[in-house]
Amino acid sequence: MKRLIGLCAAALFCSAALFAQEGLNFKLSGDVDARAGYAPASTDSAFYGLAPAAETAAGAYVDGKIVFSRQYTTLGLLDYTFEESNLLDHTNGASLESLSFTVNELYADLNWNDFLFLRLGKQRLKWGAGYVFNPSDPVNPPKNPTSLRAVREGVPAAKVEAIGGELALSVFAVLFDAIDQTGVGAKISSSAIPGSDLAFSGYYSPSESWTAALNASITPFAALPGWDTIQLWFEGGIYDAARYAAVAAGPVPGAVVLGPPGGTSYNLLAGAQAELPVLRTILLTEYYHLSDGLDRGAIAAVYSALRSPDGAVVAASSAWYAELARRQARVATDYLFASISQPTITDGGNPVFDKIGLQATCLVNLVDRSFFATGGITTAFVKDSEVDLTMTWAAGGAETEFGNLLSRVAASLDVKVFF
Amino acid sequence: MKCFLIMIVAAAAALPLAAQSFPEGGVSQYIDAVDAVMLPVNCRAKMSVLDTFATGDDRTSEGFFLRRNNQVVWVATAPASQKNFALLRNEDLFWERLATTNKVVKTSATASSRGGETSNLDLTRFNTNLDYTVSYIGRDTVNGASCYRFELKAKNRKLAYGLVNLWVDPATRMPVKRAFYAVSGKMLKYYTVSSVELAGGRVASVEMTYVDALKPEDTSSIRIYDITPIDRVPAQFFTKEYLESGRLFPFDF
Repeated sequence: MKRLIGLCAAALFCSAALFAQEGLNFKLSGDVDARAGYAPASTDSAFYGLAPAAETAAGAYVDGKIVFSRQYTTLGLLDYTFEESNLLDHTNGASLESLSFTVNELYADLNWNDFLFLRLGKQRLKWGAGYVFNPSDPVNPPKNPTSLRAVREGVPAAKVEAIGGELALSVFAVLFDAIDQTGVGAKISSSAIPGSDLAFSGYYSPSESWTAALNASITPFAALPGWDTIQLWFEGGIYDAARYAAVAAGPVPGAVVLGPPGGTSYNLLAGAQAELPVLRTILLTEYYHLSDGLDRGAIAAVYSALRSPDGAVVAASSAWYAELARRQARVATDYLFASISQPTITDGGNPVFDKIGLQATCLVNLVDRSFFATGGITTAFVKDSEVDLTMTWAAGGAETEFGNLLSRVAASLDVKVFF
Repeated sequence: MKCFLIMIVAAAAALPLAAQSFPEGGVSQYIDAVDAVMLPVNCRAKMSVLDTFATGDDRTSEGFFLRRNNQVVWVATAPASQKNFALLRNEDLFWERLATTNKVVKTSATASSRGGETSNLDLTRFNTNLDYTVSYIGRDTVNGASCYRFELKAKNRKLAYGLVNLWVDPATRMPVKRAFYAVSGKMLKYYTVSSVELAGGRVASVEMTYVDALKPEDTSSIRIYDITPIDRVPAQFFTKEYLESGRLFPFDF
């Protein structure tokens, strides 16, 4: 309800701002994405049978962005996703169709003298430079690295930002469903040191207590042509109370329940990226350490309990289903991510290879040695369109995180038309 | 020994004479004037780029840019898949904004974020004296017309090309040709002005054709038009934070 009120307020604010000046402009951009997917459920998964799983699905998405503006100083933005999906049952031909409309961002943005900016409405608050996710981010909806579609949804917030030539300061307040989840934060960032960006962030909400974070990115060899594409980034966060539950022994032997979260915790992210000269291949890696993640024994205990043939053990441990669902790729203490991508195979006018791109990624749970890998090929033979084929593969033992993903192997074909 | 000293004194005396050999006074001031003919220090303009390859394939993109001396932001408006893509140059630092998100990542002068023959520097290089040390070489001809020829040496290694040769039409002060060389001295590419429209002593629109010296069939044609001087361009527009915010730029076409 509060979110709805916030959105309405933003829309009204936006309307008032827009009609206060002359010369309405609007710009529309985005893509229509028709998708067909195949994802057989793994009977080995601890989650198998909990919810109806569809092997094949077809759907379409419209990811669009509309920007209204009177002048560049006054704008309103609507970023939305319209989804129509159709789940097919190959045994009886039954289908389950669903429609949804998600407002990812809807805000009004005002500019005073090109120095002070106010943004009110649903918005994504930039936090860190993490490619897979930002481990110290206490505000935005968490990304799920095992999902092929990125989270674009923001949070209802008011943000005031002062941008100087080398220093920027922002102060924001975030409105969540419950009053104790509502929080306030601030961020100061600077690019004053040549070749580097630094940002210090702080956030407080009664439900999450305080969070402090440092983000830094540098280009260490900016003066060396050929090496100047190497970038390093770091994110560190410390917070007053652990965000995730610990593992505690359940009421029956073998069962596990949610233990009380620990005290002051921290998260770290270190990343590096480089583009190989001439080849243009982009290599990227990130390492994560989450102090409130689980060690190998605790992970094994959780999955062992959920896979137990004894119904009483599973029932007593069932709270962990929800806990695992909210911490995708945040189960363990240590992760490593690696990506290799080739935007196009060639770039010299080849009518075929100039229009084909390749990408492969791998996220490894360093604690239980399971991994989640993706491979994709993108083609752009028709102007303003793209055809993507993506495959995913998860592997690991019976008591590991990625070994228990509901679909160990999946494939999807997307046809995108940009507008 | 006396003879040696006399030679040194004579050489020292000859240096200013050599510096004054450029017929129109100071080289730096002249190059600033040449840059000003091409683009005002503070301005906005539209740009379209056509990459043509020997295979017959071609690629187009369009956008606009804002310039505040050596700070430039270039925003793509076409093709549709590249809408929202932006390239920011703040002195020697380069960032790019990805088209599908507002994620901003660092990039370099040598990279070609847009693809084709044009490096990031090619799209944002408008102040010659800030990037290069310029010396006058002498007269030369381009397409049968007599021009001044200058040699430009990069002031730091961040720039894509260590050595550049520049030919200027004395009558209009238009830079009609540039050639770009590798450290080894090998020519990598050059551009010539294929058409220009002047108004009030300044370029109103210009079309330059970049040619890959190693593969002359591969070219990029850059057209800059609707060039409009601006009195004041705020420094905020050339920050990572502004680019990341997804806010509009003035004169966002």
